Amino acid sequence: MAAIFPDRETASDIVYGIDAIVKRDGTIDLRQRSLDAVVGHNDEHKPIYRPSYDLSSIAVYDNLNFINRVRELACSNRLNLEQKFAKDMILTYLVPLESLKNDVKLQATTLMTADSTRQILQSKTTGHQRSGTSEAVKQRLLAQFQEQSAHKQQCLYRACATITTFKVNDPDPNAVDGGNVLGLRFEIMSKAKFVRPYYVMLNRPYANRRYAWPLNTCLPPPAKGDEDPPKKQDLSRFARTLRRELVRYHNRAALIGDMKKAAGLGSKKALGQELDTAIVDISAADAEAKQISMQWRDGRSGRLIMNDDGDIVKMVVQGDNGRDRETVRQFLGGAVRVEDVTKRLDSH
Amino acid sequence: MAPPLSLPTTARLPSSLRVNPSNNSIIKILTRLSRPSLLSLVLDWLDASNQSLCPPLLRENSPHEEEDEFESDIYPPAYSLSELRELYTDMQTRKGSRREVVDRILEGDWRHGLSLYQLAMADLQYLYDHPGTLKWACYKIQRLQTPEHEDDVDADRSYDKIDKTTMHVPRFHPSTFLQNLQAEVLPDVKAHYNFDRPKGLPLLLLRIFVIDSPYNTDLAVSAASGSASLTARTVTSFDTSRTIYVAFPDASPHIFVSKSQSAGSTTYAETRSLRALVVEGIPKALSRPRERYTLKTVNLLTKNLDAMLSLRGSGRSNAAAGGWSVYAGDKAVDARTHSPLNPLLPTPPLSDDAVEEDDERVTDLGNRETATHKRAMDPEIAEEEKQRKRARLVAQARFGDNAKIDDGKGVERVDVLIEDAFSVPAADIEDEIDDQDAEEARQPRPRKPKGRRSGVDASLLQEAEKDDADDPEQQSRDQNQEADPSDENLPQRQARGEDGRDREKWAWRPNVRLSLHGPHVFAGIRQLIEAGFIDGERMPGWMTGEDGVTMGAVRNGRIRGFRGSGL
Repeated sequence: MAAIFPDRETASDIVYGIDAIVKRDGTIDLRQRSLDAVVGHNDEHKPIYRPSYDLSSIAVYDNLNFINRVRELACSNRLNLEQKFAKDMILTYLVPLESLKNDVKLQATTLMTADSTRQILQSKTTGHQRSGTSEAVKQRLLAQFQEQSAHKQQCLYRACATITTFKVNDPDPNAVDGGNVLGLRFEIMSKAKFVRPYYVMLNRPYANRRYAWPLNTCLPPPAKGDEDPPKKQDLSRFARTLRRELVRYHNRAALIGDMKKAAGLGSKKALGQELDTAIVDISAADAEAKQISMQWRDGRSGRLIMNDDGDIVKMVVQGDNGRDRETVRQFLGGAVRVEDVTKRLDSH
Repeated sequence: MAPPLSLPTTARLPSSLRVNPSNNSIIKILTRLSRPSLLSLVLDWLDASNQSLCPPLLRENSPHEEEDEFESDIYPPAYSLSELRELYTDMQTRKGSRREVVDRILEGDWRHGLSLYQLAMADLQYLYDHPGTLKWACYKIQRLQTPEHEDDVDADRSYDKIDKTTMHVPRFHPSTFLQNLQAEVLPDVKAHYNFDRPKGLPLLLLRIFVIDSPYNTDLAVSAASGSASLTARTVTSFDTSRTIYVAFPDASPHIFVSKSQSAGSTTYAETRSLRALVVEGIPKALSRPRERYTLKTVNLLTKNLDAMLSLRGSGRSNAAAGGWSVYAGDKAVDARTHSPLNPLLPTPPLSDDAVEEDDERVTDLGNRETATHKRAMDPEIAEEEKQRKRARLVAQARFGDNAKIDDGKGVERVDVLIEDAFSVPAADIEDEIDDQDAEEARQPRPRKPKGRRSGVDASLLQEAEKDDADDPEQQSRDQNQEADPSDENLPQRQARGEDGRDREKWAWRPNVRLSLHGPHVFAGIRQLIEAGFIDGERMPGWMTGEDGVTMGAVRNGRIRGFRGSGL
């Protein structure tokens, strides 16, 4: 007898011969048995629950409904799964179930924010007559709609303006300034993706005087901010400078990644084994990603220093017998910026 | 061959310097390792790259030759490295005692002595096997202001001021650092340095081992010299208390220095001075011309390096402890959920439980009778359930994803000194104002508690006294009051403000010290909140560990000196 039930079920299911249990988060507890042991056997060996059978309905079922359906079938003694088929089912249904659920959520969200949805929700006449009970539901949906569209707007601002502010309440009962905290959120893009935003939290320990930041969650040391009391505090300037630093940092890090790629040092290890490039390693040498350390196959090692904006400041290569200026000349080839070096490496 | 000359020198101890295996401390260092780690250590020693530093004793002649030199030995030396390697690999698969391995090392293959490098490796191995054996103290590296002009230096102006505007993390180069550090060490002590990078931790570990000797040759470590006093001295000098570990986390302006835990009054004092020496030397070794640094102690003391790294290492977690950690999630999932391109509404915390409850309702449909029956039966249980969920929500709000009992980032001790005035009920305040003079006369500020002060106390109190004169919050309060022209009854309010301040200043401040112990203090507090023993909403912020210190003075419910606390 098959196999898959939510873990709320207890003794009654064990009667049916349950071996595996589906947890609410979609993972499957095999009770320390292998996947092959999931299924018990029934008298008949005819699986009626084909993978093609119910895929469309799973998309709208949530986990529990699906499980209930399986149980229903099992109870009516029609469900009969072979060992191999059970494996198939787990792989075809339950593993993608999470992503399907996410898809449902996404679709629902898209539907919710659509303009036509709003029209339907706000129109008084339709639905009101047809079903008397839907008024409360409609109100709830409308509230959800408003929430959703607010979120949509926020996302739009975040994506386009890249510096956004928000209010936080410090849960500490003794917090400074009644727990009012201003949050700055910096959206940074790296490798065509938004990275986790950087946040700076500001509070006002001294009325009328200045902000201090209790939170500073960025890795590169930030800008020459206006922290000094004698200087006038200028929040927007601070935010701009900090954002600039962050973007520069990510650009520098990306530059190093590009150079690595151009030198034929892919990220994949399989590639690394067979490569026979002259340079064997390129990596950032410091936290601010301003220095690049290079390692040649023949034991030479080099260091390239760039400034904040990616201009080359200096490069030194140390060979077996002291400094190797020739390599430096070859490597740089009159380049001013690190990108030029990458291009040269790429063309070789 | 003439013995090498031993001349007093300022050089450091070479790694290849051998220590006589009969030395008690060597036996101690080796025997505290477990058999498997001992064997893997030996195999490391036998690695071809380590042969210059820890060569085993091998026979020079071929096996066919007639030889009698090692005939009576229990552990006759091997003919080649590979043979020896095989032998120890065999021992790995075989069962046996640790004693056997130690004896083989000391009386067999390394009978001519273990090098300092080998000892360092053994010591580090023990540290990795037992990560909780050392207590680490955290120091912040701060840059000092560069004097503008020579005259400034002469006049002692702006000489030792900390430069607050720069957030420069000094570049750390191991060999340069060692060279500079050696220059700071006194000539009558010799130190052996060993760098290592522990697996899985983003830091560089420096082991400093100090011997009192002006020589850097065998003489420094030989216990077999004739005089008894010298022997005694050498034995003490090999004590573990003479070893200091310094950890340099990657890309962080902090360093961690180990505190040895050996007891005994004499060694304690010795260790302390040694530590002080090292702590003094480190900033000087980091400094360069026109770029000077100093170390400032951060009141963070823990045995757990992971906790230390998450609080003071690089990355996002170092300024976002406690509930703020929700902003510092660094995983790929976090990036996706927090991306501005994600149209899904953020799910509120513990919403899984909401789902759970729904599920419950659905699944209970079948046996609805029993369920409703149960609910009708126990309204208290339902109420309890509700409260428990609320407590969990509050805990989530205060701690975020931090302070979970199994996250391996537990600090084992938190000391807090509460400097807040004893809270007086509002009705009593009026009375108190009336007889304030009398009160004042009777109760001077109990600043100086009687009896023995602990080290924590003393340093914190000192700081507190220093800061007390210019309490910025009070100053700003004064400014506000003075700058408020629209206030009609200004004098009265000011007077009351004065009163209030006086009261605050002169109020009874009991000397309350709080020590929280446990394997994971903040997770424990979290559990207490979840269980309903602590009211999570009224709990002060320092109990969540968001200040990132394990020692602190609390004023107005906030840890002094914490960023943004205004104190």
